[in-house]
Amino acid sequence: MTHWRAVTLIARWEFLRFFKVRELLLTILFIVLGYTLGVPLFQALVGDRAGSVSVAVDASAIGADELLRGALRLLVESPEPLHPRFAFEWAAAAEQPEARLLAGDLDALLRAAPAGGLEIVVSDGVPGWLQELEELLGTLVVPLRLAAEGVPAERVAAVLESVALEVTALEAGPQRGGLATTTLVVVALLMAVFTGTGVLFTVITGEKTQRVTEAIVSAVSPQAWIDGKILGTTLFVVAYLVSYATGIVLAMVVRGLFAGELPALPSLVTDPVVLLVTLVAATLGFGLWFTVFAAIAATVSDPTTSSRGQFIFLPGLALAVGFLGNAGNVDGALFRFFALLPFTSPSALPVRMMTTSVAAWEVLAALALLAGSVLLARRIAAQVFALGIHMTGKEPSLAEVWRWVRRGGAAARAPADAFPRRVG
Amino acid sequence: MRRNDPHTTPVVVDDVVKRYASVTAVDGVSFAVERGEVFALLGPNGAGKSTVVRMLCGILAPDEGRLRFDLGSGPRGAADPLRTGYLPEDRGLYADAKVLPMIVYLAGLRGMAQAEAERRARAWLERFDLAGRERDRVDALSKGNQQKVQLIAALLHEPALAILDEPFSGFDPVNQDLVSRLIRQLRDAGTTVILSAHHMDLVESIADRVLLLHRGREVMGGTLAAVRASSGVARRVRVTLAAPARPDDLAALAPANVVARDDARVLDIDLPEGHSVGSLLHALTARSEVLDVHSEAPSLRELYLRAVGVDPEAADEVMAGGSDGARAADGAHGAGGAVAP
Repeated sequence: MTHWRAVTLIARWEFLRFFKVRELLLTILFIVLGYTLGVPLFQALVGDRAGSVSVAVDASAIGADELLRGALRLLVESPEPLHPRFAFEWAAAAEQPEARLLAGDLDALLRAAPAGGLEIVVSDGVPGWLQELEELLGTLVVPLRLAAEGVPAERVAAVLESVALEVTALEAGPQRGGLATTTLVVVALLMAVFTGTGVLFTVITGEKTQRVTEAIVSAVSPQAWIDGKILGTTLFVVAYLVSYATGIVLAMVVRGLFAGELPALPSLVTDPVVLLVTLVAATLGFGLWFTVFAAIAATVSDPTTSSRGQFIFLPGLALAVGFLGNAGNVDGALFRFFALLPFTSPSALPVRMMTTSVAAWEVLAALALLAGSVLLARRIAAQVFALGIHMTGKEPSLAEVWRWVRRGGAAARAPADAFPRRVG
Repeated sequence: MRRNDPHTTPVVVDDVVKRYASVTAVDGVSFAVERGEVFALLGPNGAGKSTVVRMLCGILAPDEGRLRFDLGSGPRGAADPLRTGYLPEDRGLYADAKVLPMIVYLAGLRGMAQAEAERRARAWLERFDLAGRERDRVDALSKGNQQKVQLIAALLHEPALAILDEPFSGFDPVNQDLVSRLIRQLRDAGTTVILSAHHMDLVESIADRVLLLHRGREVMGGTLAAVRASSGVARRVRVTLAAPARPDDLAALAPANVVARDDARVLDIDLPEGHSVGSLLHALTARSEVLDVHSEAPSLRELYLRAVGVDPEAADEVMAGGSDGARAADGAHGAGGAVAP
C-alpha cells in the first residue's frame, strides 16, 4: 500500500469518527432558528425596554444656565424620545427620588451639582451608560449654545452636519472588512483550533490507553498514521467551520427575507482573494498546530494526570494575536512580523488582508513559510509520535524528546533502520 | 536452531538482540520458520516472546542481528504488512467504533478493498457467533467477543504469515478450543503461523515446532519429539509405594532420574530413551509393593522447567514470570523507556 493510500484511509476514518451529518444539520438549523426566531422573540419579550435607562431630572437642575435648562426640557418634554436608550421624567418635588433609586424604580437622578453644572446620582457604582448620556447632553447643548451666540438655525444645522467621506481608490481593490468580520474570523480560528487539538488529545491518549497503537503501527508507518490523523482532524474542523459559516449566512438570508431586505454579505465572502488566502492560511495553520499537538499528545501517558494537557492553550495564545489587529496598527512592524511568522500568520495574515492592503510578496512569503513549517513539523512530530505512542507508564522527559527529534525522521519512516545494529 | 536460507523459509530470525534500558529482553535469538507450519514461541511472561513478535511486526527494531522475510519485507524492514496478520498481545480496538467498520478499517490498512472486507467480515462474524452484532459498538461486546473481533481483524485479509501473540489469552476453554481449531485450519490452508504463548499445554496439540525462551535466551527448540528427545526424558512415571523407598532402591533405578517425595513413598521418575516402563516396574516390584503407577510423556511445561532448572512442583512463580529477570524485561516495555535504545 502506498503512503498516501494509507494516509487517505486513516484520514477518512478519523474524519468520520467525529463528523456526524445529523449533528451538523441540527447545528445549522439551530443557528438559523436562533437568529430568525430568537431575535424577534427576544424583542417581543423584552421590547424596547431592553437595556433602557430611566432618568429623573430634578427641577433644581434647571438653574441659571438657560442653555442647560433648554436642553433638559427638550430631553424630558420632547414628544419623541431623543435617544432610544434613555427615558426622562421630571422628578416630582414631593417624592424622594433617592428612595426610588434605591428601590430600583429609577436608574439615575440628574440634578444640579453643588459646585455648579450637573451631577448624576445612581444607586451604586459608575454606570456603563454614563458616556452615552454625556454625549447626548452634549449634542443637545452645543446647538443651543450656538443659537444663543446668534448663529442662525440653518447655520447651526450646517455646522453640525456630519461629514461623509467618499472613497477614491487609485487602484481597484477589495472592500475592506470591519471590526466585526475580523473578530469573527479570529474567534472562528480559535474555536476550530481548540476543537481540533482537543480531539487530537482525546484520540491519541485514548489510543494509547485502549492499546490500539500496535494494531495500527504494525500495518502502516507512524508517519502515515500521524499524516492521516492531521489530515482527518483538519478536514473535520474545516467542515465544521464551513458549516457554521453556512448556518450564519443562511440565518442572515432567512431573516432578511422576513424583513424584506437581503443583508449585505461581509467583505470576506465577497472578496475571493481574501477568502482564498484566509482558507489556505487557516488550513495550513490547523495542520501546523495539530501536528505539533499530536506529537505532544503522543508523549502523554495518562491524560488525567499529565500536565501536558495545558499545552492545548498554546495555539490559542498564538492565534489570538489576530485580535491585536483590531486594537493596534496592522501595518506596524510587529503585526507584519506576526503575519509572516508561521505560528501566528494563520490569524494575523487574514486580519491584515481584511483591514489593509498587503503586498503580494508578503502574502506569498507568509504562505510559503507556513507550508514549509508544516512539512518540517510533520517530519519532526512523526519522529516523536513514533516513539511516544509506544510508551506507557511514564512520560518521556523533554531531554528524551529532544534526543528523538535530533535523530531525524528515521523511526517514523522505518524504525527498523533507525537504531544501530550489527548484521549477523 | 539456525536455518539461514530465506528461499525455503518465509521467516528467518538471525541472532537478534533487543535491549531495554538496563535489561536485555532478547539475547541472540535465532530461528527459522517453515512455510505452512505452526511455530510457537514459548516461555513465561517476560521470556522475550512478545519482544520477538514486535520485532517481526516492525513495532520494535532489533539492536543487533537481523530479520529476513521471503514473503516480502514491509517499508520498515519487518514482514510485509499486506501479507502479514498480527494479533497483538495488548488487544486494542476503538471502544466507540462499531464492530463492522472497525474490522473493515483495520483490513483496509492491510490492503483490502472495502467491499471485499465487508463481505468477508460478515462471514467471519457469523463463524464466530457474532452475526447481528455488526452495528454494535465495540465496548458493548464482552471481552471474549472483543478478542474475537481482534482476531478477525488480524486474519481477514488472508495473510500468508499470521503472527499471533498470546492468541488464547482472555478466552474461555470453549473459545480456546475454537482458536486451536482455527489455527489448525490456517495451517491446512497453507498459512504460516507464528504464535507466542505461555500456556504451553494449549500449544502442544497444535504447534509443529516450538522455541522455548527463558529470560530472552533460547532454551530448546524443534519439533515436540525433538524437544523431548533432546531433554533425554522419554516418559515421566509417578510411582506410589506402600513403604518408603530405601536409598539402595533408588540406586537400583539408575540411569533414571528419581525425585522422592512424601517421605520417599512417591517417586517421580524421568525415564530415559530406550528404557521401558515395564522394566522399571519390574525393578521396583522386586524391592517394594507398588500401590499406583502413572506414566505419561513429559509435557512441554515440564521439559521447559527441567531445562531452566526449576522443580515443576515449585514452578508457579517462574511460569507466571515471577523471576527478577522476567519481571524486569516485561516491565521495561510496559513501564516506558522501552523503545529508546
